[in-house]
Amino acid sequence: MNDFSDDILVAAGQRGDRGAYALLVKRYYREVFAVCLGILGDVDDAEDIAQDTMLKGFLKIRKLRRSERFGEWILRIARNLCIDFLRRKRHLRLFLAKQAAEARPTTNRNHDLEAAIRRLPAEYRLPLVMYYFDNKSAKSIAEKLNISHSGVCQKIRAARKQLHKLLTKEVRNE
Amino acid sequence: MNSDCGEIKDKVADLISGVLAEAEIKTVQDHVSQCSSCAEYMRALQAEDELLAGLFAGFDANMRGWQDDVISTLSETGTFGRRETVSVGRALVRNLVARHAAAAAVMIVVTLYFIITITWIWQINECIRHCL
Repeated sequence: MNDFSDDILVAAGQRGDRGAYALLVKRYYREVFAVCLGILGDVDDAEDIAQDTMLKGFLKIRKLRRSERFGEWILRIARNLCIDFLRRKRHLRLFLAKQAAEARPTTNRNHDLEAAIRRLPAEYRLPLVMYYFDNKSAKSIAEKLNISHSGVCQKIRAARKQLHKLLTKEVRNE
Repeated sequence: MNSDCGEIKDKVADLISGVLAEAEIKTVQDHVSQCSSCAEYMRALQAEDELLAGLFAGFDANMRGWQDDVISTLSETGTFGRRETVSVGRALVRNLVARHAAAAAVMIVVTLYFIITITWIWQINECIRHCL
C-alpha cells in the first residue's frame, strides 16, 4: 500500500478513507514540519501547526482538483496556517514577549541552538531548516522554494554566519 | 589574519555546507592551513554543523510519534458526513477502468475513421467506373 501513487491515495482520501490519508501523512509530515519550523522557528509551535495542516488537509481534500499535486497543496496550507498563526500571535503581542523570554541564555546546548535558530530571520531560517531536513541538498531546496540554486547557497551561507554570531555571543554572555 | 580572510570565511561557510565549487576548495584549504583565525572559524562552523545535524536528527527521532498523533486524531475526526469506505482499491480500479475506457474509445475512433475512409474511396471508385 506504501507504493501507491499520490493520486490514488488522494482519490481514496477524497472518499473518506482515513487509512489512505494516513499514508499521505507519513509521506508528507516531515516536509510540512520542516516548513513550519522554518517559518515559525519554534519546535512546539511547528509541531502544532504541522498537525493542524495535516488535519485541515483531510477536511479539505475533496476540494483538491489536481491530485498529483498533493505535496505542493499541503505545503501551501502549511505556509498559510503559519502566517495566520504569526499574525494572531503578533496581534495578541504574545509572540514578542515569548521571544524576549526565550532569548535569555540557557546552559543547555540544544536550547542555545534552538534559541539561536529562532532568532534567525525567517528568510534565512527556512532554507537552513530545509537544508538539514533535505539531506543537505541545496538543489532540492531551490526547487521547493522556487528560487535559484545560487540564491539558496547565499541564504544558507548568511544563515550559518548569523547563527555563528548568535552562538558565540551566547557563549560570551554565559 | 589578512585582507583575504573576509572572502575566505564566506567560502569556509560554503565548504561546510558542501556548496563550494570544486575549483575553490584547494584555495580555501591552503589559506586555512596557514591562517589560525580562519582555521578556528572553520572548526567552529564544523562543530555547529554537527550540533545542527544532531538537533535535526532528534526531530527525526520524534517524527514517527508526531505522525502517529496526527493519525490517531484523524481517526477520532468525523469524515465528510457519510460512512467511511475502504476505497483505495476502488480508486485503483476506477483509475484502471478509466485508462482502459480511454484506450477503447481511441481504438473505436481510429477504426471508424478507417471504415469511413475506405467506404469513401470505394464509392469514388464506383463513380469513376460508372462514368467510364
